[in-house]
Amino acid sequence: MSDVLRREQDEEDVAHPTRWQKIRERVVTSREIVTFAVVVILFLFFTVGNPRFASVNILIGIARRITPIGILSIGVTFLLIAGELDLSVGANFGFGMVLFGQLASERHWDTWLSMAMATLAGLLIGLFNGALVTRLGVPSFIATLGMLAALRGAGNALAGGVQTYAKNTDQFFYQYFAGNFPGTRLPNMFVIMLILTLIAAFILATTKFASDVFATGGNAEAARKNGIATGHVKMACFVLVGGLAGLAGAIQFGYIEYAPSNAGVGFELQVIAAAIIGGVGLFGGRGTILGSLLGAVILAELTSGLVMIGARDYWDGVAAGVVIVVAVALDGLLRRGAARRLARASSARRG
Amino acid sequence: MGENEIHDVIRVLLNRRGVLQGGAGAVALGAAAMSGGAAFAATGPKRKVILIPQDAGDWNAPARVGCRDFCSLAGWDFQHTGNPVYSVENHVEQVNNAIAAKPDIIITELESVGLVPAFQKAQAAGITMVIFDQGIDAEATKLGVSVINQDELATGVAQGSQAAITAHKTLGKTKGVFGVGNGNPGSTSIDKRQNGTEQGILDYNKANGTSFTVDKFADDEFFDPNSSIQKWSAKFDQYGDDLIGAIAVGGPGPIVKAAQGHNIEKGKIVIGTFDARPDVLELIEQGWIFWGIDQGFPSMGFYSCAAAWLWLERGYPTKTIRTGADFVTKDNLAAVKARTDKWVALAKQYGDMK
Repeated sequence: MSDVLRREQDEEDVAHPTRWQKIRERVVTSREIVTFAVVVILFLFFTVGNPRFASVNILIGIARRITPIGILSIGVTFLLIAGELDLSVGANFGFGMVLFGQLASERHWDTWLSMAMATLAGLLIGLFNGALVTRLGVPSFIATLGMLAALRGAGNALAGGVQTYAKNTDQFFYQYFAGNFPGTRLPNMFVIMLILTLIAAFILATTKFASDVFATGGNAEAARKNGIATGHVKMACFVLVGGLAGLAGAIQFGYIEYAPSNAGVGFELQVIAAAIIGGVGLFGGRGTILGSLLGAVILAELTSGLVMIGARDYWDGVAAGVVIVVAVALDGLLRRGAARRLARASSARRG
Repeated sequence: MGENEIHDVIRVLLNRRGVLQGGAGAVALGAAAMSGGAAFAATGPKRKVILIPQDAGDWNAPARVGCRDFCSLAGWDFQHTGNPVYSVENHVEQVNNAIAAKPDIIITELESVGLVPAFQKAQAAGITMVIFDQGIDAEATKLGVSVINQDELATGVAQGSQAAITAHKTLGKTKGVFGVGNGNPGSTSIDKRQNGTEQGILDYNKANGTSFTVDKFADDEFFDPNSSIQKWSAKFDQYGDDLIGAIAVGGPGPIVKAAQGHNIEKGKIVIGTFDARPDVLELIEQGWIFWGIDQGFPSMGFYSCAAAWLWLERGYPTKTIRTGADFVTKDNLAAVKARTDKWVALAKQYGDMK
């Protein structure tokens, strides 16, 4: 193909992407490829530092660690793309752990029913957050910050300020979440997270709801003028975040078999950091589920890797901070590059 | 029990020479003295005590029981305030809030020099301060405040010795690595536990010709069990079979989870911890960990209030009372469980536990 024809094809792709191109853009972009490259580079780096890093045990440890973060980041990804933020996601997760523990261990409810109740409670919390933001117009930062404080106190009040321990841990529920997928060493909880991730990625890539989410986050005013009920879209995203937080809390209790009184403290930062590292736009309009998952993998790799190479403890936080800054800076560079290409394509067409 | 008999009992229990089995003693004293409560209370005015544990959690429930036992003897009012998310700043805020409530006595930790101004402010307001659990002895002396706690460094050394003895005599090891976690780096007391544990192991080497090494690290146990499990898991992978011990200075849950994830059998490596909460006792019974350490929290609560009483009613200062350092193993587990059940029952009765 000649250069002129190739340029014309590129301009056409930018101006009128095909359905397949749209789906691909919502699953993996150049950003996710770069993020994956970082995952591989870190893996190689830590393996050189300690060859034992390249072991199945380390990968299993990473898999278990990223499970709750991965589940939470699904909802947070949708919400960030829609242009909103939920700072209460960690507190909601912690509340879910405590609620599950209190129902299953102290009140002897069926464990699966208790999980359903924790999920339902999370959904209702998300609904409340969504109502504050979309109905009352409270900025999401403020609304969810208040909810964070409220849930921390509620969790402590529910537990009476003490840890909640699992009882009768020989029940199938606890055996399941501590166990592995049959025939493999993959933790069951990780498999559940993967399934949820695949479903979410499919929804985000192919559905009209997802298009509305992107449109809402990209330009809410334009989306409304195009007939998109942006309030409903955001509400749905808040509810999704809340429900997944409650579910993840129950799963986490099923694995570690207790809920500390400070369950979930700081978790919101890990989840949001994973999404940002993975390329989800902090101000809305872009992101992928895969990117958030890869962001969670990077954070978990740093934790295990720094331990394995004998680095001083405090470098964990420093490393995570550096990765976040580099990720955001890289993101800025890629966006400027994409904008320049779009501008060139537009001016070429006009010319 | 008459007034003089109660004072004699308290004087015996406050004997500094021995390590006090205060838990059972405090409960027994409380039960025995209840009938004389009215006579005891008449020795002084009704006072108000506020206990401010630096962090929420069931670890301080027995201390609350000890405080409530004494306060019911003395006819004092007792209040406990929580600090759901630990930080020095949050702890200072809790103390400042308590000062505003104008109690007679505040019992809390002095785990960081950042608390000193709050202590000084309380003393300026006429409040008697008592340190329990974690305290910096030098600062306590400057402030003229009683310290009722376990000697963290000495207990850490004892734990280190226990770890080395267990590895050497029970598991037949003469070399290998002990991982020693720290769930709250920067806290003076927790750091002392960790450093003491290292010292105990190294002292054992010198005395017995073993070659154990120690890897101290921050294991996030106080704040993020998910991360803590991953870090301990990575520690197991870092050393492989060279890791012969995993020692906690808070809770052993993440270590046990990491060990289970690596298919390490019970008793194959040395696992031990500070504290003797019900979950720790359960793990000892199951054979996952070799020991816990009962710090004597009921004693801390009880004697903290008693120290305040002696100061306020008799003008007698109490400098330091060391509780705890009672190792809990399978050998004495039944006795420890019996006294644990007592304070748990009381905690539920008082509403401190469900």
